[in-house]
Amino acid sequence: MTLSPADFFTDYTLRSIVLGSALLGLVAGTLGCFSVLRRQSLIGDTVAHAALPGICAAFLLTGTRDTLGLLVGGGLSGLLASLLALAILRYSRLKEDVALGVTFSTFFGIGIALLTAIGQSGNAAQAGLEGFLFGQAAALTAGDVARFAVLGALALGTVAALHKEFQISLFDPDYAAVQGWPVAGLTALPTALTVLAVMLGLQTVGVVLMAAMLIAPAVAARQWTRGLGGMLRLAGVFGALSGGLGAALSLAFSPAGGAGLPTGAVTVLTATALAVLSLLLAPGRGLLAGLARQRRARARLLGDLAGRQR
Amino acid sequence: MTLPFDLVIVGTAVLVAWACTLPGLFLVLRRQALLGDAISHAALPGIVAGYWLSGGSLATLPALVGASLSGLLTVGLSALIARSGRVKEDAALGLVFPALFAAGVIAVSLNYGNVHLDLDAVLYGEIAYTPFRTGWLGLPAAWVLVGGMGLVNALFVGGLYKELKLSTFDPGLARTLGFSPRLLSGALLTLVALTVVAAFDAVGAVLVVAFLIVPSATALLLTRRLGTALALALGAGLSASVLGYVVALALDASITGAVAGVLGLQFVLALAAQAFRARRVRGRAVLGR
Repeated sequence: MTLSPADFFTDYTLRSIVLGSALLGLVAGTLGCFSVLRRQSLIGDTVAHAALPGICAAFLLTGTRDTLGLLVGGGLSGLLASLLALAILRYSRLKEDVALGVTFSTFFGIGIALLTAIGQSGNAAQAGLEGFLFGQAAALTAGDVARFAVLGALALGTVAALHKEFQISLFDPDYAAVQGWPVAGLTALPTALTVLAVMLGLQTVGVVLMAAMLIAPAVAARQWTRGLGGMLRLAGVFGALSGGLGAALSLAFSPAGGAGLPTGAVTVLTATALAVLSLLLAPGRGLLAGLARQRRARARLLGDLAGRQR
Repeated sequence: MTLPFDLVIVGTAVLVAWACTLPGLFLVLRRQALLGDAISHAALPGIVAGYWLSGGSLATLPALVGASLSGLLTVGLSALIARSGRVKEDAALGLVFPALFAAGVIAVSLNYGNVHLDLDAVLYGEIAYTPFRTGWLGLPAAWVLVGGMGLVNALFVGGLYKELKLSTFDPGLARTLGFSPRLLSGALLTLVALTVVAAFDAVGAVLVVAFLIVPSATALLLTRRLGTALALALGAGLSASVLGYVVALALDASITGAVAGVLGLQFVLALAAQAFRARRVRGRAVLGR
């Protein structure tokens, strides 16, 4: 199919996909800042994998492939895994990467065991259960978009309302504890919101690519600003831009009748490109600006030395 | 020579466990535990490229070579980004591997939409099939490949034990003493990439990632000595392989999944033991004894 820009405003399906992906990018980009700053960048990957046993359990309990039930089940086991990871950090000397790695690999393993056990039981309705993990933006409907908007507003509203509390418990947890704030809760809350974002994204971009939707916008935003507030807002904008642009590009370049470009993958590559450009080009923290600064400093030093010799 | 199926399967699991634990313990200590996960996903474009270059035959060797190369690319690119100082290691890894994976997904959907070249075929290698593939000397192919990789890892860790230990805990001192921690770390990561690829062909990515991290993490909860930790981690991998196989048979579930589940259970027990001990020690300190 050939597309003109006007189609995005008139075509119901296109609008749902582009709007839905942009909303997802906005929420994921904003929340990703917390995990990147806490050295828990891969928590999205962890939650997305850890959702599998919950999805299987929800299927076993309800006996249907009803999307909402599976999402709730997956969300609960993703939340359990991320809280377990936080508990490991609290009660042992193990580092962030180990805490995340241990929880996601064992949860995912248990999920695989459950999935195969369900498969052996000969229940036909289980077919395609794992397809849930790979994401399909093309399946987004206006109803999904509305759901994204409500849940996203809830998540972003929480971040806006508790901005100060989150900021202090993120950068100086000891001070926050001394002030009598519930640091454990203030750490777990952004994590829980991230779980929410991941579960929203699972349907659109899939398990692996969800990791990138949390990380890349945050990395890009960090290059342009020093404050947390600015970083959160900018990461949201970058995320929305990658989501909308990625979805539009994948639709625009899909050949008629062909399988087309997978939206999740194009979205992730768009976000990665934004991050790489920001790493290179940003004023101040950019690599090129750093090189130029180094060269100027060297020239000044050589000039000074030459002046002294005369 | 035909070996009993049980022996081949459990033997493969144990070999994978040991081959992964040797470098895995150092990854866990160096905050690089998630490298295995990243490599296993980033391998996709390499597999596609190997498939394409070999003219579309589903041969194992080109796929393995391609996967190893993209694994090394992941390691190299994320180290490069992290070294720029703008991005922490975990975020650098999180930028690189989804991008490579996305490129692989696009390549698959553009060129091989109707070929069975999906993740199931590569990442979820099935350990239950290992008895049917025979390699060198009539031994199971997985034993030859993974066992060989394990032997290389054992020689590396055994031969450079002191150097690895020092450069893990005090890279500054290691540099001062005249051996390059960066070279050593590069060799270690290369071995990890090769081990991950060799092992996921046999047992699938899930179990490889679990074996790289979980036994070592469990061991480090129980001891602070490196040598003891290595022995404990090898033991944890052995017991999880045997127990997991028994559980899988009982539940008629995936062996891979069950072994990973048992690994998780062992970890939780160790964490509980450690928390209990810490509480007792604190209690004693309060009583002033």
